[in-house]
Amino acid sequence: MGNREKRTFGRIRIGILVCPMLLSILQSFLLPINLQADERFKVYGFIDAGAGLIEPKENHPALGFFRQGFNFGVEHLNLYFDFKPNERTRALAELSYGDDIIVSHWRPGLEFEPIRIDGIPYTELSESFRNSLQEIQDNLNAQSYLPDTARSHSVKLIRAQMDFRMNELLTLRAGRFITPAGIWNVDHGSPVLITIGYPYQSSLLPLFPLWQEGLMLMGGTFIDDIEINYNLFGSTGWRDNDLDNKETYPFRTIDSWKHMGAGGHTEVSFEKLQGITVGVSGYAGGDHRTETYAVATIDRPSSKLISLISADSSQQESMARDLFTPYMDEITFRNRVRQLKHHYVAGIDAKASYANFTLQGEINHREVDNEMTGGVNEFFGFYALLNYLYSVNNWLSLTPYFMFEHLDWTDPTSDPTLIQLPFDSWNSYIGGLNLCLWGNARFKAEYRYNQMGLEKPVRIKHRYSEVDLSLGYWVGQFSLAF
Amino acid sequence: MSIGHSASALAIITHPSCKENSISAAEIKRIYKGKIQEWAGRTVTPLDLDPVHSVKNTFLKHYLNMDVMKYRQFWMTQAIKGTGTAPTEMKTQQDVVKYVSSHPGAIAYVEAVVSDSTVKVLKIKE
Repeated sequence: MGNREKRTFGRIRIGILVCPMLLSILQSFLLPINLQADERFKVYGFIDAGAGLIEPKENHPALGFFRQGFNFGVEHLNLYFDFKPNERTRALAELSYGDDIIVSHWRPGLEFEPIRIDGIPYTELSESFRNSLQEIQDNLNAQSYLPDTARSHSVKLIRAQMDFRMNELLTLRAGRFITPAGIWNVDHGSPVLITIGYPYQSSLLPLFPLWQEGLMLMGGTFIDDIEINYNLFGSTGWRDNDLDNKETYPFRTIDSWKHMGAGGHTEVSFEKLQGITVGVSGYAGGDHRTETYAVATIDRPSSKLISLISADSSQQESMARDLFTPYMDEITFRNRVRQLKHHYVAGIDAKASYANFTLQGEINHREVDNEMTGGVNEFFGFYALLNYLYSVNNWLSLTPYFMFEHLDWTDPTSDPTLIQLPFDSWNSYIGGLNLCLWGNARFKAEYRYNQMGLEKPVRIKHRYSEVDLSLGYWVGQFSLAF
Repeated sequence: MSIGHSASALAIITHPSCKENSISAAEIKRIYKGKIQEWAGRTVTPLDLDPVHSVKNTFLKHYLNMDVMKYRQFWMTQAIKGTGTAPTEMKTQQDVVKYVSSHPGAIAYVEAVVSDSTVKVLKIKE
């Protein structure tokens, strides 16, 4: 199938998904009230549109994560299809059209296997010369791991689940479900969220899988005035369908059974203490993938190679491109097992309200054991959100808010599917105002200030140490639940 | 529709076959927030009224400590989270009484003067 046919097929596929959704929305609005009273099938959802202004900063390593310049557009349209055939059974599907930035931290790795250099067999080159070549190769590989981003208009199936409720203590859920981790990942919809952006630990750099497929047991009970809820699941593990479907994505899942995951979330809510809620989340799972990488075989003399060896790292990437271009026919692609790793994720979340103030936060920690490298990455994320609800009247409220988020990681080389960023910590400060109309429409405006850190040495050779790593920008959003 | 209700003017009604004669304020709150789906040995179906009825605001203030907008936001949040959807809103109190009288497991609030012998009025536990 050629690219044109694939694009056409993609449009048809989106059309097939979007048209029934639009018809369903229209139909749900057209249903008379007396029919809706007894209906077992409901369609609802939300939509949001946003605008932002980011002044581009030359050479900033994180610019790929953001839409640069001025931008405006519909960012999400989520539709829920909710069917309750009887009192104990419920089927729920959620489709999401998104205009998201997809971050793939990977481009195909590049290695070269020189056979002869200027007529001399590689094995007969001096050791120092071969070491220099090795240094170039390491640097080329590092360059190839710099984050690559692209905007993606796509329709995703966020969940398609079937619930069967045995009793209050036990409901069985099967299908694709949103991972019950912390607060934000489950809330996930703009009309519910106070801020415009998600915490990075629940979006760009997720510490938990956002959704999974499998089986879940869930339920809840009250002990006096204390409410206890739980979710326990077994799943097919952490998959990134967006990336797995990208043709250019070089990592492919193998040995699916090694991806199996398990986890859960439990929360306790105290009715007498202003509804203070405390929860804990956990997840453990495997990840086994192959990487496609390019091998450039050089068996002809190259006048550029010597100069390449003496070039500094900032020049090598472009020079390497020049070097390899005449030999493109000789670049082959091979697969190798790149990652066999295990994730262990744990988190604590809490939410408390007092006198119209609400404070919520999450602390998450992930350990990734990479059996291929023997390395361990400790990935830590924390955020706190404070907001104040001022109800003007029955249909209008104002909520100013402030949020701080911190992320850091110790060894990105052991966690290549998650992160290969040329910095090692990320602080985000957000301040904004949320205006709510009639309970289901929200206007938000906020300023985000991001500060990336480079305190610890990282593997990737970069040229960002002299760049101002801060990034501030304004964003606005309108969201509507229907 | 009438204006200016007190909580004592409210009646919590259910199907006559319900084995319970009373309900606590905490149970009402949990039912209307979707925290419990079973009560008195049955799957419970709470009914709501259109916001044009001031009795709705009285009910929400007294039992849930919420106003109409907060209650709407609460259920919108539950819907987006996938937890559940809001109780069905009926247009008139007479429709509510009629529905409750014919659906075991249904529970609702109406003005006391609207309830009749086709439904059971529950006492509120202290």
